[in-house]
Amino acid sequence: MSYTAGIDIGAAFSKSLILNEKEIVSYHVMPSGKNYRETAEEVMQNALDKAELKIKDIASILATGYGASNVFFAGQQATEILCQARGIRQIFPSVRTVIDIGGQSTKVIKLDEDGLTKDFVVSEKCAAGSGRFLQVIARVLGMPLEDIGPFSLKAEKVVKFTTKCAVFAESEVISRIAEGEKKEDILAGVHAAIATKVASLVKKIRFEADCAITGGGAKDIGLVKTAEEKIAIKLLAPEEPQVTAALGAALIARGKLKEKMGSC
Amino acid sequence: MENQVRPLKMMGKLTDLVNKYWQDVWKSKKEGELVAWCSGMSPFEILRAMDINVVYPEAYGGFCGVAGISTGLCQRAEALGYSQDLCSIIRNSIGAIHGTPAKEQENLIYGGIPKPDLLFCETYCPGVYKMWEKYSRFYNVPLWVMERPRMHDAFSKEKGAHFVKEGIDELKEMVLFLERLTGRRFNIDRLSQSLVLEREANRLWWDSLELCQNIPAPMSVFDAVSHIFPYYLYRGEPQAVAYNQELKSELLDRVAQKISPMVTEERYRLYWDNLPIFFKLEEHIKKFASYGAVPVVAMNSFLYGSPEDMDPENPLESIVKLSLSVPGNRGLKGRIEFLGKLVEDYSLDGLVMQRTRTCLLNNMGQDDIMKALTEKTGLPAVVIEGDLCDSRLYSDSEFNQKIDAFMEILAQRGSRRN
Ligand code: SF4
Repeated sequence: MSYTAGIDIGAAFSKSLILNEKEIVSYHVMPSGKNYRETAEEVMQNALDKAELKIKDIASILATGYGASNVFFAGQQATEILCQARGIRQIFPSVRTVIDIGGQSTKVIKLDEDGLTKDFVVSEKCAAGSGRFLQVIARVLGMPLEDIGPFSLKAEKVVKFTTKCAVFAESEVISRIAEGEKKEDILAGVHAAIATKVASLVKKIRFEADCAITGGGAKDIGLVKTAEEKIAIKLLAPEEPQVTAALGAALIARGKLKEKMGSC
Repeated sequence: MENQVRPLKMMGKLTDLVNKYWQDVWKSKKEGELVAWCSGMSPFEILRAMDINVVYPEAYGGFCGVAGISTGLCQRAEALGYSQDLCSIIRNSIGAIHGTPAKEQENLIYGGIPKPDLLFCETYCPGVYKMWEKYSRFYNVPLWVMERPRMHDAFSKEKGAHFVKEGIDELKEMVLFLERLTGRRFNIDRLSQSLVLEREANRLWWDSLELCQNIPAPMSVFDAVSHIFPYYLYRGEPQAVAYNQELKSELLDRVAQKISPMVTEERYRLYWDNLPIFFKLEEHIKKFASYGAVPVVAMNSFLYGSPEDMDPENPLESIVKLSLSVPGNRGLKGRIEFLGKLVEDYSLDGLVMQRTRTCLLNNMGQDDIMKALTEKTGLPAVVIEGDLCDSRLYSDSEFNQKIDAFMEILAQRGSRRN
């Protein structure tokens, strides 16, 4: 059995995924922390342990993400955009637009009918449209990140935010709490702010259906729902939306391996 | 074979000529000659024909950017109360002029900017106009403002002719103003002679840009932004003609030998929108070269109108037309048409749109242009967020991420020539 692996070192989370010739055998997600090099080793080791494999069993490793250059044991690298496109295409072959809400930025990728990247846009150098914004707000509200999605569904109204900057939003949230606004309504406002940013990127790229959502942001049910409303389209979300780029990386590694074998 | 950055041999001459230019301006200033500060498109020729020295504080921003000192100068301007939203070219100048103590100014690149005796600007950029107004008050020196309307697509021929006539009238008034100020007589024959030289230098520059249609291109956009300076600084003077002649010869040699300035094998030919990010010039050359990609043409390289618009027998009209007919001064439709032609003439594979965060003028219409061109030509495009002089408004990781992904798209599509 030949195995390939994809490692995606993101700004907030790192992911590893191992494939055999047919399917995913294991994956792991963990915070990226401060030392990307150590994280790369750890996230790989965790996926290996889950699959009961050793590093020498992996025929090819491809790294992607913000910290890809820290994956010293990977033989190759590709961009998140390429890996994300490849990964999502495997899960949803009909997808033509991918919205990836990552920790550092949001990307919208447009695919052609063959699944090749046709165009992409990346949010500006500002946290407002990214997962970092959610992390900041979760911390201020004293809630675990994973709880804010379901909690926001209880909202009865949407608190308006006047700023588009994550740093100012933090103080704005504090002011709203002081004014007695409910947490769920504040969260609905935060989701609306992010979704508006995402929708403007999606419209800018002149998106085509089907449309999928990936990244940490896709785990937030409240955000996905709000984004669907703003873009006026149903978004397809993979079961584990954080590992699609790692899946794409492993698939690309597998494809390259096959090419190499074929040419021997 | 490894890609190799091969700067033009003219680079040495360029450095000498630019150094000499600044030395001469400083010398003239010390000897009591008049120095005018001009915005980029001011009627340099008339000022030179009246023995007035000219400096461009905007261009000074480019020099400081390349030298890596512009962000510090911008911060000095901010310490004086100027907002970071203000154009970084302008903040750079304010930082050098006002933000730097007098005795430290001579340590700045080219010894800083000599104080002006008069100021000239055109109305194409409100930022420059406001800054010039401020300096006019500060130094208590006269300011001359010339209208430069954008040549909108909907303008009729008559309207265009009207603007040319208005421009000529303005120049005549300006001549009277200068005669009063200097006590010297304006000599139109001298202006005509300088226009002969300027037309020649301009023709050679357009020829040099045209040579970049060759595959591989002998000069990149990153080279052109530097090698345009002799023409810019010595308009209407023999130095610009001699320089552009030699430049063209070197480019012809390169074309004959198929030498690219950046790569061993030119894989992708790109359009670059806007000026380069000055403080990242070298790194960006290396980045593009690593993919065999060369930005071969930019609309900004066509900084002046065509030599065909120049007639030394009618020097005032020529000066006005040269300024009005700059491709970047056209309406949206005109600019899209111009760029559409570049896509074909230069066999382009993709478009890199540099979004200068603090320059509203150059960003205006950029999205519409990109949309129209990608639809019309089917070429992929990427927007990179940057700035000319403020490195805090730029991110290496973001730039690399976007360029890497863009190169993957180009690789998937392959070069148009294959
Ligand atoms: S705003 Fe733009 S056009 Fe005006 S000075 Fe700055 S860079 Fe130049």
